[in-house]
Parts: sequence; structure tokens; C-alpha cells
Amino acid sequence: MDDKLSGIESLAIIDEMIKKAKNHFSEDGSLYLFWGWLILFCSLGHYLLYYFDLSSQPWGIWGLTWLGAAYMVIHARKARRRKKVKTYTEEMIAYVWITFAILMVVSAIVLGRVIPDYHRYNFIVVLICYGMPTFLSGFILKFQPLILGGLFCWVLAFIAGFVDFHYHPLLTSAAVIVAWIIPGYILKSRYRKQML
Amino acid sequence: MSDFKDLDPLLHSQLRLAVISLLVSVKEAEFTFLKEKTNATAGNLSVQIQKLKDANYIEITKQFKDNYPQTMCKITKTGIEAFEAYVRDLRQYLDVKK
Repeated sequence: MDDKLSGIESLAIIDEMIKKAKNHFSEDGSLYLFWGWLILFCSLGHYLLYYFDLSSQPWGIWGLTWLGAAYMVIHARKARRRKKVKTYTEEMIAYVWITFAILMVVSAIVLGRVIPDYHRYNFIVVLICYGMPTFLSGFILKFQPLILGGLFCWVLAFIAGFVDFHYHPLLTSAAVIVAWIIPGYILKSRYRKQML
Repeated sequence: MSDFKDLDPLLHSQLRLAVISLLVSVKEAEFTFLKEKTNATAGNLSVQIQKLKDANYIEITKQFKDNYPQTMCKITKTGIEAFEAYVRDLRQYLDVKK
């Protein structure tokens, strides 16, 4: 069979294999959904605790995100073991999200120290940060819902500049619904279709 | 077939060309991924990837994953150069045929 391989057949094999590798869609949306729902729970919880005056420290609910981070590390290790293929796209996206995580931690610590009443501006910085990895991931994956989600985060960050800071958690809720939860479900459905 | 005498004989084979084309598109891939995408038998695929490894076109790493052996394949710089040269030669050949 190999001896009969013509030039056209060779090109067809190359084309077919590159397409197969490219169409192997390993993004199942699980992390977008996990973080989307967790941040939605925390931001709505924050607002409700404040609104009904249920706690003097409504921001304490955000401690759950540390548990989320621990779970994510375990999940990422398991997912890495299950993977049959590693692509350059996945690697790029992983570094984008690592950059985001570092930005979030450093900005919270440093800005919290140097800016008086930083809690009034915290969510604006958070929304600006959310936009970056979401937009870039969408661009790398060529996936429009994430690109739009990233842009939506920046629009909300802009709006937050004109809204009382007590309502910022609600803007954050809206951001994660549009930027992570909706794209997460679309990615999940695409991944399932591929598996059929 | 004389037109093909200058093409890399190692890559001018259906399965080996398919494997290299897959590996050029990803960072690294498990043996089972290659088997699934090429529809080859495990035995034939093992023989062909060993030939690519002997020519230093790919790297093969064997490790254990959840107590099961796992074979990871990755294209090398030599492999990428050979693939690029193959495509260039193929293009030249097809241009001549036009």
C-alpha cells in the first residue's frame, strides 16, 4: 500500500491528520462551570449577607474560593493524567490562567495594603482581571462566547466605576454568568457531541 | 514511482506520514490517541513509530499512569525539519506534474 502512495494521497493524509488533531476538542468547560458557579454563589451570597444585614463581614464568604483553588489543583492533576494528547493551545491557555491567578493574588495583597478603603475598588480590579483570561482564552480557542464574555467583564468594570460599591458583587454575578457559566455550558455541549 | 525517489522514504509511507502529521500538530500524544486517529492496529503502529524513533524523528517516553503503562510520543526538531522538507519536495513534485 505504501509503495502506491501518490503525491495527492500524501497531501490528503497530511491534511486529514492535521484536521483530526485540530478538531480534537479537549476543552469540556468544566473549569469555567466550576468557577462560574462558585463565584456566582460567593458574589450573590456577599450581596445578600450585606443586604439583609446577616453578617458584619459579608466578604468572608469569599474564603470559599481558597477551597475552590485547592479542588482545582487536584482536578487539574487528575485531568492531566487522563489526557491522551497535549496541545500547544491548551498549554497557552493554562499559562494565561496562571497569569490571571498570580495577578489576582498579587493585586489583592499589594493594592489592599497601599490603597485606603480598597474594598470599595476591589471588585473593579477583579472585573478587569476576569476580562483578561476570558478574552484571551476565547481568542486562542477561536470561541466567540468567551471573547464576548471577556469584553462584557470590562464593560461591567467600567460601569462599576459609576455604581455604589455595595452593588459591585451583583455586577460580578452578572459577569460570571455571561463570561464563564454560559460559555461553560456551550463548551460542555460541544465536548459531549464530539464524544458521541 | 521514479518521481518520488527524492522523497524521504521514511515519511513516504501512509501510517508513518499520518503519525508525523498528527504529532506536528500537537505538543505530545499518547499511543492510544495515535491509534484512534490513524485507525491502525497496535502492532503495526508500534513497528512504525519505532522506525520513526530510530531515525530520531520522534521521542518515545514510557511511563506508568494509574498503574497502567503509558507511551507518549513527541516529534523532535529533526522530525519537524524532515516533515517540512517532505512537504516542500512533495509540493515541487506536484508543481512539476501540473
